[in-house]
Order: sequence, then C-alpha cells, then structure tokens
Amino acid sequence: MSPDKRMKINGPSTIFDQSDGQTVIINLVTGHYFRLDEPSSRLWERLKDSPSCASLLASCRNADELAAKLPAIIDELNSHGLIVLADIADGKADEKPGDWRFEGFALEKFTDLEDILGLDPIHEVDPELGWPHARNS
Amino acid sequence: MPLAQLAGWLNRQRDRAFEARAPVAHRVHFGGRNLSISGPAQALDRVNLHGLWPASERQPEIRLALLSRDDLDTLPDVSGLRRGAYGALLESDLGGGVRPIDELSPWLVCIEQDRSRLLAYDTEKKLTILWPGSVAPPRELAEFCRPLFHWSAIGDHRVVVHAAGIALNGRAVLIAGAGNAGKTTVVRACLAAGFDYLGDNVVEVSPARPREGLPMAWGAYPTLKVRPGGPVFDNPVLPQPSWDDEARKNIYFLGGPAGAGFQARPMIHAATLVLSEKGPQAIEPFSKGEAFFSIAPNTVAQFPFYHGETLARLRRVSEQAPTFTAGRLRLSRIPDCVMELLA
Repeated sequence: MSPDKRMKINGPSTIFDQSDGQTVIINLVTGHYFRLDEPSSRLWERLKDSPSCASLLASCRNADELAAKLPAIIDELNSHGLIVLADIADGKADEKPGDWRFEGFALEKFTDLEDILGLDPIHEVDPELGWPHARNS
Repeated sequence: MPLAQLAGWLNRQRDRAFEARAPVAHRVHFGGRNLSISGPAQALDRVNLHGLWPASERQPEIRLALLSRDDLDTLPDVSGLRRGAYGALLESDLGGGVRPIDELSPWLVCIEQDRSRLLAYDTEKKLTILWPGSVAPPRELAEFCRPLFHWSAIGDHRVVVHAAGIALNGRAVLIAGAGNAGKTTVVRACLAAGFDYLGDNVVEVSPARPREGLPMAWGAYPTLKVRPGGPVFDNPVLPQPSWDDEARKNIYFLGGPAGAGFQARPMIHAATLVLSEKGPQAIEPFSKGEAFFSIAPNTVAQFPFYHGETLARLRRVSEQAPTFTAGRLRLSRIPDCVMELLA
C-alpha cells in the first residue's frame, strides 16, 4: 500500500448504498454483491473519501491496528473489483486526526445473482433458451 | 462504429413509426402512467391484451409504436456489443468497465440475440419502438415490456421493486423475498380474503421526498404466476391459466372480466414484508438495513440500465415505511397478519 495513493470506487461497474448502518455493494460485471456491517461500513466510507491512505491512517484513533490490517483489506476489495488505486485527490482537505476508531472489517460476499447480473447473453447464455438461462458447460 | 449506426437506424425507425400518425390501437395502464400502442395490424396482433389493464383516467401517457418484421431487415450488426439482462446493449470496452450506451446516445435498447425481438426507448423524446417478435416468451406475455416499465419509472423519479403488492383500503404492502419464499401464497391468501391486487412480481413505488406527500405504489400487470401443487384457495376471480414453461408456473391473466381484485389506482406504500424460508413463523419487525439488503441486489439484477439510481431509490423505499419479516405463515392466519401491518 502506497501512502501517496488513495482508494477510488471502481465505477461505474461498482455501485453501493447504505441504510441503517449496512452497506450493499454490487459489482455489475461479476454479478457478485456484498454486505458490510456497521463497523465495516464506517471504514468503507473513510476509504472512499480519504484523500490518501496516509490521511486515512492519521485520522484513525487506533492507527496501528488499522495499519496492520489495511493492506489485506485493500487487497480484498481490489480482488473483487470494487476499488482501484488512484493518485491523491487535489484540493481535498485532510481529515481531522483521531476522528474515528477502526473496529474491524468483514466483507460478506454473495454470488447467487451472478447468473443474472453478470451474464453476457451473447457469449454465456444458452443459445436455444436465451437470457437468463446460462449455457451448460 | 456500430453504436452510431444503430442510433441512426433507431432514429429513422422512430421518425417513420411516429410520423406515420397511425391511430392509437390500445391505451393501457402501465404503472404510474398510461401506454398508448400503435402500429401495423400484424404486429398489434402479437400484443397480449389479457396481460394488460385498460388505461386509467388522469395519468400521464407514454407512446409506443410497433415495427413490422420487415423493418428489422436493415438493422445494423450489433453482435460485437456486450449484452445485459433482456439482451440490453451495453458498451464494455470504454473505461475498463461496463458503460451503458445511454451515456453515448439517448437510446436504451434490448435486442434478443437472434434478432427475434427489439425494444428501444428514446429517453429524450420518451418514445418507444418495439418489434414484439414472432413468438413472445411467457415472461413477456405476463409482463409486457418490463424493461420499459423500469425505464419509465426511473424517468418519473420512481422505482420498480421486485416484490408483490397487495392493498386494502388504499394502503399497500410490498411483499419481497427470494424465489420459493412464499410471496405468491401470501398474495393468493389475501386475494381470497378480498384484498386489492397490485402484482405478484413487480410494483412501482415512489420514494418519498420532503414536501412531496406520501409514498405511493402502483401495480402494472394484472397477471399472477402460480407454481403447480401449491395451496388451493377458494378464489373465484382466477380464469383458466396458461403454462409458462420457462418459470414452470401457471400464468393467470386477470385482464378483462376476470380481473376483479386488480387495482390500477395508486395506493399508499404502508409497509414492506420480507419473506424468507428460514424466517420466523410470525410477522416480526425487520431492520431497515436488512430489508434494504434483502430487496436491493435482487431488484437491481432484474432490469437493464440505471443500476445506481435503482439502488439509491430502493434504499429510500426500504426506509420510508415500516419493515417486517416472516417465514412460512399458517395459511388461515395470513390475511389477519397482513391486515395488522396495514393498521
């Protein structure tokens, strides 16, 4: 993880929204969707809005704990195509030091809709039945 | 560039179809709007009016013109473009991800891979052209132009939710849940008890916004799909069904004289009930977050285009009315349980 990089949502193929502390994230390319609980949603909000990884760590009350876990978290989000690394955003104010506390991160993954959400009906559907029937391998 | 050629072809078809000023053959209810349908006789014959409801008074109208089979002979080759649900044309090679073509042209387009069916909606002029195909798939017979229903709801600042809807005294319950969760059973039990019917699969909902009044729900399709072998209800409104080989269900078309129970008027969205096979055996409160998670991905997956807007509006829908959950309910208790949600 480079401190002079920031995380960016991998849009437009990744969409998300939050209700009652829970975040729903959908990858429209893979058809996988994800759920974040309240503590994980807090980190997600910070990750996507922080001007840099260094700033994110500086804003965290238990930065050592976050620093130990952050590379694996970023790798996980990246491996699911949910975020990309980008250059530091210009003009964004740094977050306040000690603004929040990292309380863990768990990305719950669901694949039951991939046949509908991620299916390319030209190449992957049954040629006789058409969408949404997947081609038998 | 196939997209540019396609947009040009669609523009020409639209202009020709609507400038011909063919008389409106059918005016039908289509959620929170009416849909006028015009076109050549051989294409009009392919529209299943038993799966539609007569137009409602005082609703805005959108227009659809049917094409003839010959019109498709000049359709440009679009085989290189990525497709989404319903054969929706997407552009996948721009920016490294899926980009809907509505960023590049005003057209939203669904084309079956064998060109047997074409639906295209001009988002600027709000005009639709449709080649309904030689043989309409059962899902189309039951839910006419479902992508258009979704697109037009988005254009009207609403959202089509993947849920059943029933109502009583002007107040509606959305009934969501995965397949086999028991949505149809709840719907049929309530219909037999005299509830109004908004639909068994999709319902249009207006997410409440400050100073815009109460959240409302509209039914669109007077059809009911029932898996064989399910519970039997004494329900006199159901006509003889047609068999849907794709969904393995019977489709009951409630349009026409058999349609007692279907309600075209908007209802207040009063509650949302999420059913799940492993849910409690009584109706219990459900957190807004859980309800959002239960409804949103499944609904987003149902329709092509506007995924982000759909997700955001579903969040508002899940927050605007009380949310509940239940598993398998005792059949005799279902109407009373649902009535309690509407109290």
